[in-house]
Amino acid sequence: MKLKIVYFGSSLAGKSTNIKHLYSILKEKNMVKGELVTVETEENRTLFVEMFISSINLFGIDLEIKLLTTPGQFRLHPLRKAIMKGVDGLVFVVDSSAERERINFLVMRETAAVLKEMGEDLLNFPVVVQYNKRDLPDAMDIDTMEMMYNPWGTDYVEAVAIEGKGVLETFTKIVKNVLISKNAKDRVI
Amino acid sequence: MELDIVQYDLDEATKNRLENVIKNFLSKSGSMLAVLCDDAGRVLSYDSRVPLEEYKSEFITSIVSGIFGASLEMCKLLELEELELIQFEGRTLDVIIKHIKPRFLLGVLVKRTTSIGSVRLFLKEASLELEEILKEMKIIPKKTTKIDVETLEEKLREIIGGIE
Repeated sequence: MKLKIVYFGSSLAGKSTNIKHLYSILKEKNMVKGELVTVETEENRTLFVEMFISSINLFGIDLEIKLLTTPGQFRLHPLRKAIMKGVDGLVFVVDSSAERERINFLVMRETAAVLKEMGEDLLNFPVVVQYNKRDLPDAMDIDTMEMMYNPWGTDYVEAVAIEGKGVLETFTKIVKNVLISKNAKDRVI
Repeated sequence: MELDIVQYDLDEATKNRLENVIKNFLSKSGSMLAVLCDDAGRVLSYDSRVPLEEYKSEFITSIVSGIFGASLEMCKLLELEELELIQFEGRTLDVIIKHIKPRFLLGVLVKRTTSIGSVRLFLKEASLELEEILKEMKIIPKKTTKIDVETLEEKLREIIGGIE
């Protein structure tokens, strides 16, 4: 079963950091196929995509999970649309800094518009919300962020991705949510 | 809640037909590589004259679908008509990406020394054949397993970890 999971979020929210840490962790567990592929600008910002493939056998079923990031910068919006095509599940990486309050929200709204253009409804999509950079002194409190950034009422994870905290938990939860969404008889998610 | 986790796959006949078209195209056109994928970048079939691991074909198709998708966005911005094919030149290789109806792409890598005219001609022929096959494509369940959500969570925790 081939799954496509995309990490989205504002510029510098930590999407690339998540993917890089996750790749290292899963590589140690022999759960990746090949290398991490990065298409970056000269300033080491994601220009197009970062991706790798994770391979998991679950109850005899081979899951081949392609994990990708979208570029966070607004000028690269058309590329974000191209990467979102055919996505099975989303990880919304939210920058916990109070300074990024509005930009997080704008990215969520823009992603909803992209999915709508593809005939999908963000609110009916399997998502995990990751509140990243929990170590920042100006980090917003979780209850406020839950109200602002989790209209799904879905699983959320507190993370410090740069230290690898919450990275694996986020991945496990999105795999679970995607499998439930795709395979539940009553499709409640 | 109970889940039926089903692994779907293309039926063998379709797989073989797609493989044959790609192989024929590669040999007739003299191309280096041909990958057929859906517009989300999932590989359906590929053939290559250079050694290519399966996972690399998945990366290539992600980039192929991304490039084509980005080009479509550019056309929308400029109010141009939709693209059927894009082509770009490298120092030693040309890259061609052709839209295959209804929602598939064929990515081709060709050496600069190969005649691009004949490649385009064979590509047109192959595209028509692929469209015919894909129109009749069947997806069949390959493996099925029944589990409840709690068991799924437990198993994922055991295999991947990360959840306390």
